[in-house]
Amino acid sequence: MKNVRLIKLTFAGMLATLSILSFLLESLFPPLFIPGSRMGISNVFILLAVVVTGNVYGFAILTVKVIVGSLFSGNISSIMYSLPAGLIALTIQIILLNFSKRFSIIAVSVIGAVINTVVQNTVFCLVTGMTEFFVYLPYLALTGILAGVIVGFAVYLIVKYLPTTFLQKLNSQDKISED
Amino acid sequence: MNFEQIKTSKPFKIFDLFLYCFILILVVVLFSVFVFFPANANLVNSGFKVILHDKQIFTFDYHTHTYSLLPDYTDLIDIEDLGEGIYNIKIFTDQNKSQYNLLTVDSKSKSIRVTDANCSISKDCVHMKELKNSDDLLICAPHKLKVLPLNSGYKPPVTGE
Repeated sequence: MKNVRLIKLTFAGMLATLSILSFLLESLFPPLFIPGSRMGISNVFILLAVVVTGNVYGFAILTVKVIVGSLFSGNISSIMYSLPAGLIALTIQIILLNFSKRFSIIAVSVIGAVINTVVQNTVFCLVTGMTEFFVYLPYLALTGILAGVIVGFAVYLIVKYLPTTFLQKLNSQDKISED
Repeated sequence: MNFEQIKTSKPFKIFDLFLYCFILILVVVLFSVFVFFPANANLVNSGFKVILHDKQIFTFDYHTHTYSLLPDYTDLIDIEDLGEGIYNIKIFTDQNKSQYNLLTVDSKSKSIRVTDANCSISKDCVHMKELKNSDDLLICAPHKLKVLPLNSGYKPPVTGE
C-alpha cells in the first residue's frame, strides 16, 4: 500500500532542504551588482512545490526556508522583512497561476521576484529606519527581473522534463491505493 | 495552472506582455522617484559621519585629518594611521566588542569603504561600493551602522514632492 500524501510530504521535504541549501550557498557568494541582491535560486523549489504539490506546501517551504536560512546565516533579523515579502509575492503568484491561466510560469515568476524585492526593501527600510536604502530600490527591481526569468525558466524546464507519471501520482487523490 | 498546462504550453504567452508592461512602468516610476529627480546634492564631500543605532558617534574631516567622537564610544573605536592619508577605523558595534566593522579611509581620494566585518555570512556591507560622492552611503544592517558623507544633503523621498 502506498500513501500518496506521504509521497507528497517527502517530496516537499526534499524541496525544502534544497531550498535551504541553495539559500545558504547563495549567501556565501558576493551580491549580484547591488548590495543585498541575490539570484534567488531557492525560489525555484518554492515555485516548483506550488506547481507540483500544491499551494500549502509552497507556503510551508517558503516559511521554513526563511526561518531556517536566517538562523543558519546568522542574520535572524532578516526574518522580519524576508517573510512578509515572500508571503506577499507567493500569494500574488498563486493568484496569477490559479485564477488566470493565461500567463506563463516565467512571467509569473518575474512578477513574483520583482514584488518580493520591492516589498522586502521597503519593509527593511521602514523597520530599520534606514530610509537611505530606498535609493537601491529601482536597481533591486531590475535584478529582480533577471532573477525572475532565471527562476521561472528553471521551473519550466524541470516541470517539462519530470516524468508525467510521477507528477500525476503526486496530484492524485490523497487516498490509500494498493500496489 | 497545473503541471500539465506547463508541460504542454510554451514559455511565453501573449498575455505576459501585460505583466511585463506593469513591471516596466513600476521600474520607471521607481527610477523617477528615487534616482533621477530626488534632491541631488552637488555639495562638496568634506568628510563622513558614522551613525550607530541612530546616534552619530564619529565624524572625520578629509582636509584637516581630524575627527570627533562621542565620549561614550572612545573605547569602541580604534583608529590606525597607515600613512599617506590612509586610516583604518575599527568600530565595535556592541559593548562586549564582539561585533565590529572595519572602515578604511583614503583622505586623498576622499573615499571610505568597509573592508571587513563580522555581521553575517554574506557581509553585504563589505561588497558595497566605496563612499565617495555626496549622495553615496554605506550601511551594515545587522550592526545598525550607517556611514554618510558630511554635508550630504540626502533626504528620503517624500510623496508629492
